[in-house]
Amino acid sequence: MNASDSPRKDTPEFHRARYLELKAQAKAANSRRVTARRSENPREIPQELIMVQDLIPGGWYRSHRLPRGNSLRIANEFATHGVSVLLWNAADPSERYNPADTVKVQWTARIGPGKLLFSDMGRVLASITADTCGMHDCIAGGSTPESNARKYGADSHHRNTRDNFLLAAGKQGLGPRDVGPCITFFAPVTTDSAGRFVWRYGAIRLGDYVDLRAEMDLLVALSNCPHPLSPEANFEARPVRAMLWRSPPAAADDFCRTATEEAVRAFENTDAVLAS
Amino acid sequence: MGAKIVTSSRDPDTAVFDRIVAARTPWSGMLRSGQVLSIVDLEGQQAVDTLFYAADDFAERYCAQATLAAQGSAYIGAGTLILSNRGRTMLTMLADTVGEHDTSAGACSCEANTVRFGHHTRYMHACRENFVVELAKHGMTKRDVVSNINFFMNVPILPDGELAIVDGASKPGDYVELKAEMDVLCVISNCPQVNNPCNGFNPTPVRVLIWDA
Repeated sequence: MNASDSPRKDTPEFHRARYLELKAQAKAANSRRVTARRSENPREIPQELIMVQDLIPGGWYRSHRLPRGNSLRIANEFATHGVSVLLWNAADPSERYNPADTVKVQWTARIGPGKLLFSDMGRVLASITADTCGMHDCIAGGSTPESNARKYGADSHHRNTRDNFLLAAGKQGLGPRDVGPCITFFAPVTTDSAGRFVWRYGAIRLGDYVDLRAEMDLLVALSNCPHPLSPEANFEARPVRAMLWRSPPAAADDFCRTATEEAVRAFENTDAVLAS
Repeated sequence: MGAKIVTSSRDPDTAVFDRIVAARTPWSGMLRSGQVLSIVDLEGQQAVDTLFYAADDFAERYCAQATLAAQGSAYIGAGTLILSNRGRTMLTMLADTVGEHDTSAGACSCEANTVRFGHHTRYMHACRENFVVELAKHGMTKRDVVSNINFFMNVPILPDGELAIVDGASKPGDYVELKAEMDVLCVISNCPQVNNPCNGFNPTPVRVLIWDA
């Protein structure tokens, strides 16, 4: 075969073929991960590894600095219906969590064990190194004064995630323009074939947890308010445990870093900047 | 799918603004409360990445997540109330000849392109480039880019979570029409992406029209 036989790289046909190849690869990778390997993180974190821990009351928020390589454990000890999270690059908070890239790059809205939380800069903020729930929401967001009014009545005045994030961001020196869309853990929102949201009953269990390993120095905000699509008619203010802990360094064959070619490239982007 | 088709009888000849936005380029303009905006996909299958900001305070801007949570479904269509991050209705979607539009997959960027398609795509034009340059005209920066609406972009979210950009459903001449419910700045990137099907692998021009109330 001579050079003139190879497909031209600037044609729609070339780009379509490349896209379909990536899509097929991703579909295979995502279906393999339904039986993703078990996390090596301990279920009970040894006391000597815990840097900070807190029981965030229902309706409340907390923000933390999380240095690269350490992890945030969110432990759903009371089966709360959603813990919303925002993340920023601590060195430059104009780089922040981007749910659109998170779902698009990984070809799924089902962000679970082994998946990555992307910034808007093609880099990885955090890896999900453990996740016993696997049902989280990147699409419908956290609660707001308006969603609370719809659910609980106009005069209910419960706390909400939008205001919590303004407060959490403010206490890290950030403003309203730094508060973008979020991810909500333990919020089993799926879509039906018509695109309607469906809350999966039974997907929130006592004692489920996720670990987010920081892949750069982070600012993290957590808001412990029930998700706007939670079917509970009353505002159930359950606490949630948040722990910052010294997690083991990523091995060369770390699952989060190597599972897909997209993950490999994302970490090339992430590590290159941190090394410079 | 639950696509709802609603047509409009507005006459382009009565529009107070009528502009072709060239392939791969941005546009921005102010809509006064009551004015109606139309975006026409002239050649079909052309994603139009769109953001809205309240004219009197740009810190109030379109909120994709609040918009979807309030309507209980994952796509933008006729009847959708476009909500701000303060819970106010910025616009109402009056007409739509396609049925469903994405607002979860965001804008393409040079940086995300490297992850999705390979490092060789870093120096290809992208929507975020358009947004940052256009927002700068209004005193805003990359910080102000949030999840946008992708008119004419088809991104089904399947019950198992699978999410992928697929061939656009829009035909030549399909349009959306939105009524401003407050004074808003509209910022558009006519998407330059050629690495996925959002533009039929061939970016084309679109037309923007505005009618007075």
